[in-house]
Amino acid sequence: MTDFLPAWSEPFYSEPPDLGAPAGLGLAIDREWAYGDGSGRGVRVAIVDSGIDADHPDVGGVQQAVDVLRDPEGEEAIFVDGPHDDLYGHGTACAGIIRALAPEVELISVRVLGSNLKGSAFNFSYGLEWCLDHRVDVVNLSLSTGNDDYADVFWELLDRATFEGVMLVSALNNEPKRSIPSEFAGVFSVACAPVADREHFQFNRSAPAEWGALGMDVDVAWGDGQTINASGNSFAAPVIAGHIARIVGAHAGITPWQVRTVLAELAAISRWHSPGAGARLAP
Amino acid sequence: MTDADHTANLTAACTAARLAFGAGSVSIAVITPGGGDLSVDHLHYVAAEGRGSEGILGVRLPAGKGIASYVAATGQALVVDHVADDARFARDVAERTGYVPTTLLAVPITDRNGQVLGVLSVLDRGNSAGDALALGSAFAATVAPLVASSTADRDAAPAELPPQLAALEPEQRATVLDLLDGIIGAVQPRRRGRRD
Repeated sequence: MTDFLPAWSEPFYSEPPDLGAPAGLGLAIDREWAYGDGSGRGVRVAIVDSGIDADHPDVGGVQQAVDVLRDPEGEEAIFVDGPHDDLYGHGTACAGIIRALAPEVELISVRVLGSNLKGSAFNFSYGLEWCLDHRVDVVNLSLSTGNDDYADVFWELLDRATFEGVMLVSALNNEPKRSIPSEFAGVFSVACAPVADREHFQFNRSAPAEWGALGMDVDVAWGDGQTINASGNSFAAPVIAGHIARIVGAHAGITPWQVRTVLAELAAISRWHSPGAGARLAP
Repeated sequence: MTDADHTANLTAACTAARLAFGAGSVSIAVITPGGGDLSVDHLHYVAAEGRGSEGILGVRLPAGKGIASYVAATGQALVVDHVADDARFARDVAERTGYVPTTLLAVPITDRNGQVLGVLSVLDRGNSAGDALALGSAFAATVAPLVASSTADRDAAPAELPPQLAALEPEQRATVLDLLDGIIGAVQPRRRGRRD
């Protein structure tokens, strides 16, 4: 069992939790109304990450894939359509979590973490832009950059996503340092919380971790058909993305602001696990 | 600063980290662009101290292989308490060094813009994961300028620089290039192009 806690997860794990005012406004919103049949049918969910192993049994296929590369001779992004593998397993983990929560979504793999270890913020920004250009409904971003040079680029992309009704779900860095775009208000920012399972999550009024979901000591899909036990905010974000996919599937055209309200109501009726279980506060 | 000086400084940092962690071994790997036999970017282990250090020094690990590579790609620190059970672990590489650890902490080394330059790996630390993550981040921040200047030296071929720059000592040149980067970034909007 892991004894560290990813950054920005502390408010969810403190005893009592330090989340500001209670979640929700007491609206007549329940899970049945929020999720409909809960399938996420027809919702296009992109995972901007290391690729997805489409053959992994937990993934259940990938409907579209694009590899985002940087032209080594210049400053251009190159987009290569078609199947690709997952060099690191990280994107496959996210895909498996989302598929389990919303089994009928269209999964789209936008690979920005590949064989190029440098300049990932460049690929990342273009991968996100690709999503906005290709009618994606929900984007899972279990990655972030600390590169301040890209802050304005991501601000523009986040504004565009919000105005166009695209839901961006972003994991905060596991270390307490610059985390772009997850610390910006335009995304559904996520850290780990001690909730009972992936059906439950929490709302936090204190920025920047807006949502808390299961991410500590979790079994996740990995490369080569494997499953590993891992911890981190990366694995909490797809939980929220999965819930949003359900909501979008049940309420076509719903805006990011409306989804936040629905999520907060659902968080208010979520169950807590034993606070502190599976992790302790970082010193 | 010569390559030998850089190596000595980075090795000293590894020693300090190993003592602070009560660890079996500490290493520093630097991201190196693909080329030659390796078409993809790779991690080049440039400094190491402790058990298995002779075996890991000079190793080039291609993108996609090993826990350090994962950390370099994602920019996320990673604490693994049972390395043998982790699919990300490059067991064959560890076995060749003669030292297969039980636990591993890998922390990205980043420049002041958050760009990942390399990875600090701590094998079989003696302290708890929570303490180790904070300590590892602190050490990564400490060695970052050293790693940045070593990669700047490597990337900047004096013969291709203006004579005034080429005449400077490497450290002075790195400082001037850093300043120039900042100035160019301030006056020139970054070009963003795309090709489908």
